[in-house]
Amino acid sequence: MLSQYGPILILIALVLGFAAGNLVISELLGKKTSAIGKADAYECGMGSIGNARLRLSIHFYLVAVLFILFDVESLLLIPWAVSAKFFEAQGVGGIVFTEIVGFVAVLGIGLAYVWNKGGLSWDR
Amino acid sequence: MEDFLVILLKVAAIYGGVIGTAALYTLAERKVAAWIQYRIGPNRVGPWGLLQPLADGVKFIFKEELVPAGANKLLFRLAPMMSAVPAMLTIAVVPFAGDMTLFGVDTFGAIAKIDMSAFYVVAIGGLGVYGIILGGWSSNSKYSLMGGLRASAQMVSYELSLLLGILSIVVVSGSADLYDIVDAQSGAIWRWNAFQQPLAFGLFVIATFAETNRHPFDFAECEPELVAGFHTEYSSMKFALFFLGEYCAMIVMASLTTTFFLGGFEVPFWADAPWVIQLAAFGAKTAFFLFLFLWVRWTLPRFRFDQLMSLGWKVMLPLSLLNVFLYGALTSFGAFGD
Amino acid sequence: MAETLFYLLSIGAIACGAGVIRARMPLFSVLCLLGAFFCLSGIYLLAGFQFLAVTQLLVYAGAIMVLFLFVIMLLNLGDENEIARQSGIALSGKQLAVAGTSAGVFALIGVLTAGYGIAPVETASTRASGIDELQTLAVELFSRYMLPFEAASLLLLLTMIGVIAIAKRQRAGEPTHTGAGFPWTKEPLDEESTL
Repeated sequence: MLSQYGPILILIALVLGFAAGNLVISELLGKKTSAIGKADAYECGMGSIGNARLRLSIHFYLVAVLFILFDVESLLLIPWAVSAKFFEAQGVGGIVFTEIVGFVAVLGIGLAYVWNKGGLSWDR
Repeated sequence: MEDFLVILLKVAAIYGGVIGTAALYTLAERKVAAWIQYRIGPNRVGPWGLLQPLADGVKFIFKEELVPAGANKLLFRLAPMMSAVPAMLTIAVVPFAGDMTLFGVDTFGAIAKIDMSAFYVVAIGGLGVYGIILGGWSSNSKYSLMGGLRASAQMVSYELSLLLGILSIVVVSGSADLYDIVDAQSGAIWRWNAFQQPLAFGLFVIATFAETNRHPFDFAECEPELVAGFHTEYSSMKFALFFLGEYCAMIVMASLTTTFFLGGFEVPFWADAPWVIQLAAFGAKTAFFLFLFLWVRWTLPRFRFDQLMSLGWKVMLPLSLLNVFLYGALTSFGAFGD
Repeated sequence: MAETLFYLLSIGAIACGAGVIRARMPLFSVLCLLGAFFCLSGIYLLAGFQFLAVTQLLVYAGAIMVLFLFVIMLLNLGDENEIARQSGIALSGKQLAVAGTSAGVFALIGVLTAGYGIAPVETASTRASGIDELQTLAVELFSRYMLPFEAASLLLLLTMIGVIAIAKRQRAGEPTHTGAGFPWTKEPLDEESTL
């Protein structure tokens, strides 16, 4: 396992070093000046109004949960995807595929339900 | 010991190559934009402006670091790293060439060869979303926050299509190792997955545009509405890191499209080409997709955000599911039994 | 080398776990949890479970943490000063003592039972490759565990219904949107979307 993933460890070290190094160098070399209003958030030249910590729309929650659900679904399909050919060679391809159809059909019903309720429409 | 040195050499060469390509790609972006708009583009630094990226880099380093008032200082500095690092880590499994012999050591043309590489790229690449959310949030600017949130919702939506597209390729190839997937497409040109699975190919290419926040889906930095989106408040090298990450992600996505759908490093009708030729073939195929990113950007208008989400959830997701079904059925009932 | 990595990752996971409960800002808790998931998936890899490691990254680190971030921003828990004043779990000495004792008891149980129950973990590291592991998993999943597999889809369906119930709660006087969004139902005019 280590021989397979070892090179990735080296890459991780290299990438982290590169990114952090760049940040530190420019932090050290860049000039520093300050002026009134310089650190204000940019709002097209006018003074910033209110707080930027906005509360966000419930849609983001909806999208995130739906994403998790379909992510889990795809993940549960991975073992089948990798071994579909193997199952076919063993002569049980049809049976296993029927199980998959049952699994995804239920989620398809769920998707249709969410769609029908307007959960996939961003603007309402 | 020699094995280790070869591994180090490969890591350095591939990482350096990708970073170098990303730097040149920023120049290509400006040049292609200029040509499409009948201008000349950068041509002052070096021959044909080729040293422009280097000049940009030096300039970025000497620019002032600005941390906006009210920003979360730690997260503000961490966010560019969290955005760039996942994109750069995904190059670890991309197969740039087949088997090769370097200094008497038998090796292969990728940093690592792992069994789950097809899903590794999604799992690691998907983490890039945190850099964007946190960058947008920690800036304490309304434009940044909205850009970051939009981008994150968009990225998670299209990641599903990406994952399902990969799933249908894996079903047909019978393996999640990118090398096996490339092997399955060797030989004749019609064995490429682009011809075997045209629907998945189309969906995957569209999803790569959305995943990398590129035009026509660049809501992360929708200039007319959000100034510059999630990196409005960023300057100097932190700004550059966001961009480097984005360009690396584009290179990785183009490489993956090549690997999954255009036979990767395989040269059509020449199964055992030497690795240099394979590398060149890979580069040529990837260059096409890299050019496609630019071509689309300077040609098409931008979507509206609700249109983008509708497209992702109401068109791409059902079609991707159907595609997995179709090829799952074909495989399960023995249509690909070779 | 593998052993050193294991200890490094374990220490990382524990430190991140401590960070999750110690952080004053919810956002930092999420980031610490992310770090803990990373360390855990590294440990899975060391044990030879590639699929589990990918699951950890794809679902926990990639999806669930995004939801947490969104929820934190949804509830507007982000403002550091606000949170610092309101909560911030400061553990008292008594609580720390209880936590430490229970951790010690668990460690003791782990050490005492080390020889008995964990035989499968030992054999796992000698597995040939991840694909074999996945194929074994697939055979088990689609034969012996077929029913739980199908039941999982029902669970996911229930979650979908639940999230719609939460997010699309009808307020009195609002028109219902049932049927909206399907291409064959007539859509009302697009309103200006907010974000």
